[in-house]
Amino acid sequence: MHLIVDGFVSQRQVLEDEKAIYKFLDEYPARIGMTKIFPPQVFRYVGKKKEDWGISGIVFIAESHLSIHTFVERLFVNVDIFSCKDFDAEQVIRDLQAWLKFTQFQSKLLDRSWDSMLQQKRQELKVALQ
Amino acid sequence: MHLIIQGTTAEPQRVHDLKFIHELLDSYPAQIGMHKVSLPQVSQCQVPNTQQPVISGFVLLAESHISIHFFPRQSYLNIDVFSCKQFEPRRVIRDLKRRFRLREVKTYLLERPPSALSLPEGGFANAPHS
Repeated sequence: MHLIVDGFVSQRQVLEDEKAIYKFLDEYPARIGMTKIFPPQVFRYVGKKKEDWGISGIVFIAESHLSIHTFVERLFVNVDIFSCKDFDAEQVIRDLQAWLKFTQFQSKLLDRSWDSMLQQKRQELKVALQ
Repeated sequence: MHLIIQGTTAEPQRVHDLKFIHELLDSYPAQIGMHKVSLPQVSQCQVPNTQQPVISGFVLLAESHISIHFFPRQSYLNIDVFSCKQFEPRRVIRDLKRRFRLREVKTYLLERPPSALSLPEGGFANAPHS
């Protein structure tokens, strides 16, 4: 499953704090039963426009990856929690809310498992046979 | 813009190669006008408990990231091309289908800029894409 959470926050400090983002990527996988395979990579990104900057971070887990991209001047963040293993998406959203303190957010949960591909294939066969 | 591509490869031996995935992550961003901010990282490990092998690779971009997860047992690939900069999703799908010899492809295209949060019903622009 792949949980996508995009949102606005009220405090820019949380989006420019490289250490806190590294810490989250370093520690959170274990809290949801995932196994890191590399230490996190976290970078400060500066774009062509002055207001276009933020922190990008990713950590690879045996089950897939977690990533965060922040847009500090826009008070905006994209978070991805992607795992081939199931996890409690509602709890993850609550944890993100507690840390980032969203003023507004939206989330989406995608099924990206091999089983979902098989189901699609079966459905297509069923339609083709009708 | 976040493009997700899931599919099975017709040539698993070709994809079951850390160098092949590394080379793609190293060279492909520039081909679609994106800028790497890290070297690609590629590793093979096993999903805990299932002992299922997986090859995972990613490269961080100034605009976000590209990641690849390959599950050799099912010849199954999960690819993310995520950028705050616009790109041509049809071209990327075409390129990656060719490079990975993909069949049974399922794709999603998600709009994830701050403005997407003001969409009606708080929804994403579209998914699935095809």
